Amino acid sequence: MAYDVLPGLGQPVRRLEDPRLLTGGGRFTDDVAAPGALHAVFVRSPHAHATLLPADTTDARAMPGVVAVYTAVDTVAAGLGHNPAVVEIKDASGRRHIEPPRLPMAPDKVRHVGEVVAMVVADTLERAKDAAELVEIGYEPLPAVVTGDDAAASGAPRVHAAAPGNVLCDWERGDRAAVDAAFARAAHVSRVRFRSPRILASYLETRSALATWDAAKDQVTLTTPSQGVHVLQRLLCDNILHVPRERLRVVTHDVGGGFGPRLPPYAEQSLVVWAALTLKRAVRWSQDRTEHHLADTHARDLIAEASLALDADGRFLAIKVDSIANFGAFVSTVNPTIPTGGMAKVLTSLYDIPAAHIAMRCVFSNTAPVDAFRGAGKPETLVFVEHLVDKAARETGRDPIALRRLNFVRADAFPYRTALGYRYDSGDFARLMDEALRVGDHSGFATRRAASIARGRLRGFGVAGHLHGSGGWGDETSIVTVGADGTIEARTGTQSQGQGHATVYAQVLAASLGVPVERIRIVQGDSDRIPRGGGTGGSSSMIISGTTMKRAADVVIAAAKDRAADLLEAAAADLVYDDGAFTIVGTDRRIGLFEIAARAGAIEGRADFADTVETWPTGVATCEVEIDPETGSVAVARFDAAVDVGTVVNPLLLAGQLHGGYATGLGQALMESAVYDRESGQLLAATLMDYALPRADDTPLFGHAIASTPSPNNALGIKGVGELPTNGAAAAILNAVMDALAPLGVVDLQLPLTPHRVWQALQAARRPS
Amino acid sequence: MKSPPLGYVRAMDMPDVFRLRANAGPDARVLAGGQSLLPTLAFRLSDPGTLIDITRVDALRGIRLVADGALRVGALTTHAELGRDALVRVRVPVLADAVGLIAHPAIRNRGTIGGSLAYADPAAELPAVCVALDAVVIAVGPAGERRIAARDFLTGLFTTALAGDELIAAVEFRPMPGRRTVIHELARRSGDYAMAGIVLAAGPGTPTHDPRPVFFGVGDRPILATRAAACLAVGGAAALAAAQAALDGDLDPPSDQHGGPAFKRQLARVLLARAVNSLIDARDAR
Ligand SMILES: Cc1cc2nc3c(=O)[nH]c(=O)nc-3n(C[C@H](O)[C@H](O)[C@H](O)COP(=O)(O)OP(=O)(O)OC[C@H]3O[C@@H](n4cnc5c(N)ncnc54)[C@H](O)[C@@H]3O)c2cc1C
Repeated sequence: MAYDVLPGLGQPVRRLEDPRLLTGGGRFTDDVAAPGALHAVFVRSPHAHATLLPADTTDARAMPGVVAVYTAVDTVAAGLGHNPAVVEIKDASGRRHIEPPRLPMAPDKVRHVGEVVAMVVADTLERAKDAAELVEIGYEPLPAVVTGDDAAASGAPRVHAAAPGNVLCDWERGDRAAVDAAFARAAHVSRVRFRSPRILASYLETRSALATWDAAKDQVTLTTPSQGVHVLQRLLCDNILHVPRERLRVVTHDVGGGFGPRLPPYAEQSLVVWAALTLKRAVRWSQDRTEHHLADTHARDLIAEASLALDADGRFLAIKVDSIANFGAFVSTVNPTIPTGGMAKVLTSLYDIPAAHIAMRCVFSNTAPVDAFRGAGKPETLVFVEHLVDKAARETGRDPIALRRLNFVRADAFPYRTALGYRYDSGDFARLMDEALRVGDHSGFATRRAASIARGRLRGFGVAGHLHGSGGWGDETSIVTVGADGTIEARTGTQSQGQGHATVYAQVLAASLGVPVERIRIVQGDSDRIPRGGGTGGSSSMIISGTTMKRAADVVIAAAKDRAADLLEAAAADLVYDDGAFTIVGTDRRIGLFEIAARAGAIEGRADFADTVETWPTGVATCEVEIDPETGSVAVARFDAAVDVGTVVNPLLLAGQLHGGYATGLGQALMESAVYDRESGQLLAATLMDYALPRADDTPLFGHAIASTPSPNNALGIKGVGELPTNGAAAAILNAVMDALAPLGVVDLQLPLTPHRVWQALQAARRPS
Repeated sequence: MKSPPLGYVRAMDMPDVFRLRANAGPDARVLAGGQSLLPTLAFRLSDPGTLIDITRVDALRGIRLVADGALRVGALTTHAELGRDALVRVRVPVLADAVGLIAHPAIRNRGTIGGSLAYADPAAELPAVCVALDAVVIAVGPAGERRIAARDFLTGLFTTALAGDELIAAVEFRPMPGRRTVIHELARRSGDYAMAGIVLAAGPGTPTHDPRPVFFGVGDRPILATRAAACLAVGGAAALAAAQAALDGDLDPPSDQHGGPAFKRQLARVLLARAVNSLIDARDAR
């Protein structure tokens, strides 16, 4: 559905990047040739927690082809600095979170398996790997702690001397007194205990970095898959490497998936750049799958105890959460606001809940750092919130759909301020529910359940309200240039990781300028060519780049107008722009935009982002599962949703985002779990044999209905859609499973819903107590 | 992740294999499809020093009928070849059925039946099929051939009765007129190794005639459930329940990433019922 702000949007244009990508024309970091580049290999800690003893690199250095072997001794001497968080949280007393130094290589201790302890640089990858095996690092193992509750327990091994009790911040949000008062007068209170499994990003393209050296410019170019080159450039130059930004150009070509963990700067990137600067030679590295599991940021590691208070009519009075967020061994780039702000944004879901409170202990552990991953604090929150709503319905004998309808924020209440201070922009949740039940064929469920039961299976129907609050940095200058060659180049500081930015941005420009999409080329990912940019994260690129490109296009039209007037020998005031050309009013004399550029030179329009990043896409998901009670296996039979995503720029790409997001949530609900061994601190899911990702036949055909209300927060009415589907998927699946199992006496279930776990829950429920 | 330093030699015929093996010493391994061996090297679970590539040895190839009517499947037969072979479809269809449960096409294109038997993963499909069908493994060494019943060949977790200088040349499946065999497994995802599986052979005639239920993924090797088989052979309405109960005596499953012994026993009971029912259904359908 397009709104008339920009007629022409909303066409199902096929992705402009696909012919190239599907015919082998992709250019990923590893595709970039760099003749003579040296290869870096990283030696990683096999221990979860250990004191480092002096390293011996003599044998490694003596190996053929080895150019350099670096350890923390070298990087400390070179003054390589802290990889900082770029956001902060504070405790109730106003104290900022504790952020111990996070150096490219730790000089004193290792704090998780996979932490980098040495770098070997050699002329071939094989030689670098062989030499890496000869680097001798002495470790004195220390006791390790891997789960949030273990880390928060008294007497737990301490991960950082600076963080007593492993707590980096005791974070709070909301009005505790109001919540307590509401609970005191509640007619009913429902409670859940929830442990969100830790998950991995599993992008198709693992991380890599190529640093090439340009002697003439005394400049290094870092080519690396990222979610935005400017953040990387800034942190690498200003904080870690201490070199002027002119000496480091950061380039990102095609990216095989990002999802959040591609945003932070990692040790490997800074070390590869530093090695290139030091050796004055090109150095490259690319990660293997196990390194991805061990060393990229993980996500969702949360423990929560939540309660919901209802009055006698079933109205929600208050919600409160007591939780522990496991940050891993260090504070990663944006994580301070992920479990915290992420939870706060969506804690009241689609409901009008007058009081809410979160108490969250943010803790360190001997695990890989945790940071944003698609949904960023919201999927795990919505799992327990929506589970809690279902539980309240069951406990009070209400229909879960009716209970939701009763408590929805009303359509006339927008903008609606939540108990935790957020401002929902627009929505119509009753309509979302209607549409969700329609697209999910709720009325046919009873028949399908009867058919399942006839086959000895259980069947459950689950719904989940969900939403997202788009975030990110609107640090954008879009530059649109109409070239003399009949093409339009648009430069932007957001970064596609596969989403199809080149298509949707081109659609905005095509609609703004009245030209065919094929004429438009989007340029991103080059710190030399693009003045600034906040990158892509938080489901906001369409908002940030889309609205700014529209503005830049308006500047182009304004700039072209005088030239058109000259060329047509008419007064600018008599010209109107329509369909890619200026026409003298009342005549058929016209001149096209490209003709103006061809005759009078390129036309440039620039604009800065001037809207609000935040929008509130919402949805109601419905899910049907079929469970084999004999084996505990859960099959997702149907998954559908109604979504309010504001203005739709391209329904094909929207569907793609929704499908991918649902699949991500499905994996989290049913199988994904990056477990560490509680004793040894080893990651038990170090390969894809041990870390289960969903396969095509694990996912149903996803359906969706659009029930949009345009966002008043930006000129195009767009809402960010990338994370919305992920936020609700696991919740709907858990609710469907519980709908099937609760009648048999199952009260709570934890994710992932493995056959063993479901079967055990059924056994426990059947056992007479 | 990288293999230890390795030597690689390619054998062109059987004498070549024996000669190269003798030269390379006791740790050397033969390389067939590499789908199990290469990952174990990358994980540093083994360090054989030398790999002897046998994939060019013609004597280890081919699927054909031999003198006594048996189907002889060469050790180098890939899972994919097994799955599409016309003779296999007619003579030992359960082999083709099993292939559909092994991993993914890319792995089936390289993995071999000889490799699968030699590797002896207790959750693998083909070894269990071989035990259920009472197949014969043909081992060949410098001193000649040995015929070893599949159930004697698989001696434990990743271990077999092969002598250090022997190779699997082929597997032979005797003709069993009127006998039907089904394979079922419960896996976490399509293509995964089974959490538990069963191959059930029975007949001719009713499923109660000489039933041979062989379980995989629930022990250190494929396990012929003799107590359950005896219960099934009794026949009658209570036979299946008795056979399921008898599995407690037949199986002693270890815990693994999928669950503990109680869960594995449950899966085995479920599989037994499904296998028996599918034999009955198959008979009814005829
Ligand atoms: C991701 C993945 C999933 C898999 N899933 C399954 C599955 O679901 N079910 C399943 O059954 N298998 C599975 N496999 C294993 C696959 O079937 C292997 O191909 C098979 O187990 C070994 O066959 P190979 O030819 O690849 O043997 P190789 O890997 O080459 O060799 C394995 C071992 O057998 C020895 N060997 C090979 N041939 C002979 C011979 N003729 N004589 C003596 N010794 C020999 C080798 O020396 C080595 O020790 C999977 C593999 C992978 C990588």
